[in-house]
Amino acid sequence: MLKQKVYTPEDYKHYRMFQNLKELVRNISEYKTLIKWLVVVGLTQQYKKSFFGVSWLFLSPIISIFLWVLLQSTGMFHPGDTKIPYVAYVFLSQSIWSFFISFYKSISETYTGRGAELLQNNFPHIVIVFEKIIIAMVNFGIPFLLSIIVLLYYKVSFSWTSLLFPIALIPLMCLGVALGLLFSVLKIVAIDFTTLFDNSLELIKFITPVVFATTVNNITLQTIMHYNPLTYLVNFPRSVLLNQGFPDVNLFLVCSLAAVIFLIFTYRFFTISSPIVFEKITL
Amino acid sequence: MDDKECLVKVIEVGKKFSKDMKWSMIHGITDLGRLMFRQNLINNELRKEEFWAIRNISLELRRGDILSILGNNGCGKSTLMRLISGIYPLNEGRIEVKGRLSSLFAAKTGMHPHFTGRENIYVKAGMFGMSKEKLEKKIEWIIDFSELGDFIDAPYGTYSSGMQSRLGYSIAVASEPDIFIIDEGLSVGDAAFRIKCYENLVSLSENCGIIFITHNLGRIESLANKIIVMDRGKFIYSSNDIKKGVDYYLDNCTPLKNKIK
Repeated sequence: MLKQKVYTPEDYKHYRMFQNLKELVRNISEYKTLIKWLVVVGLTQQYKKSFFGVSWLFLSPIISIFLWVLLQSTGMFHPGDTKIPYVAYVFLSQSIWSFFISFYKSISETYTGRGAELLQNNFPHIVIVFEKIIIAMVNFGIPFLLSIIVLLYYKVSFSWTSLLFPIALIPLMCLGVALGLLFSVLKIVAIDFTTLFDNSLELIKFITPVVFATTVNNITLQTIMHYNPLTYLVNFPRSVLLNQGFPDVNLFLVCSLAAVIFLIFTYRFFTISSPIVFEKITL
Repeated sequence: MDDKECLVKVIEVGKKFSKDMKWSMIHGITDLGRLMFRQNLINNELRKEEFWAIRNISLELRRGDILSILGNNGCGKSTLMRLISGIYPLNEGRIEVKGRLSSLFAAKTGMHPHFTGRENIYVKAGMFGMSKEKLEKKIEWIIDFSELGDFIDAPYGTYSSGMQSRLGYSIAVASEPDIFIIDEGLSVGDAAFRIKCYENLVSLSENCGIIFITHNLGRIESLANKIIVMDRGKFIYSSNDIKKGVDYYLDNCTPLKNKIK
């Protein structure tokens, strides 16, 4: 029996939440080979025309770690109250922050970057999103493992709870993916929203304890950080990894739940609204 | 022929587009807003700076059909193909598609110049929804049919446009579609390969419905068994007599011809 598909203008009305999620699972399992190949292409294409090839996936972070260590040795950092060497602290925090940003940035490019491909080939758009999620994970994982070596070099102690770190990062990933899904659709219509949000990211980074410790001296900044959900999503995994206990665990759990719910809703927004505005990528 | 299984049914379909960027943005934001507040999005009136790219289009494609659609640039052929392929949403009407559909719009898209032809087969076949197992069975056939020989392991960027289209066509056919749409996908292949493709299309059509868009009028006459002429978003002629259809197109859609006369 052949599979039948019916397209009508009312299609957008028929999506139910559960159906959305069921379709997601079906699409991923049906197109897993394509996702795998797109990931391979995405990770290796920039290094194809290079003598070192994919070794650059490791060489790039090694070079940046080397630069950090070099900067530290010049003594140009005057850290706040962090219990581990500032360079390692900043390095780790920057990695966590760029982990979050990389999901947002790459997924928000789903349509503007890959529109031609999607216009000429009929495969589910979520395939590109999954490709980008996996690439962002690999791009984080490799420098992260290397930075662990640096942390060990600086005699940072790890414990068994440090193994919870990847799990503690999931809510931050959910938030990054959710923002990416939301802005990928908005970007088809007008780039104003993304440009505005991109510019605010620097500010958001400033009010999140990325380069500062949470115990920074400025009272206003401390108050803002207190109400910023990213504070808990960044601080908790970092503390877990650095064996500094479980700070604000309840707030972390509440923010995590909110991030997951936000992701489910933005995914629904993505599936329903992207077909409606998709054609505007040609304009 | 009409007792054969109907694979594509297009009923009174319409699609509108914006022709102005600012208004397109405004309509886009309005639509997203209406969607979020669960308002109705269906509007059969044209909004400011919109136009009907196609309207009141109906057609049926059955197994064994090779339907050729003729029309000048911008008459809505590709828009219709994208609607049938499920790429664009429709504004009016209904489209029913039965079975696996593969459409070949531009052989190049989705291919990566720094990767070999073989690596690109995996990516493109994935886009046609082929599973790994199916592709493993078919890959030798694809390489053989595309006649790329040793070049299959050379970077795709080194291929001539003819070689690129040969590979694209071979992968699309290997996906074993029930409905096969070719939108000017063969226009750059060399004569020998084109003839091979046309022969292949005829044998394919025994088990498949084919929609074929080309500006090569001679080829349409020898290949198609149904013809539709489109002009400014509407079907103006539809017949099983290909010769008459081509003549109708030449008489009604090519104003230059009269001037030359």
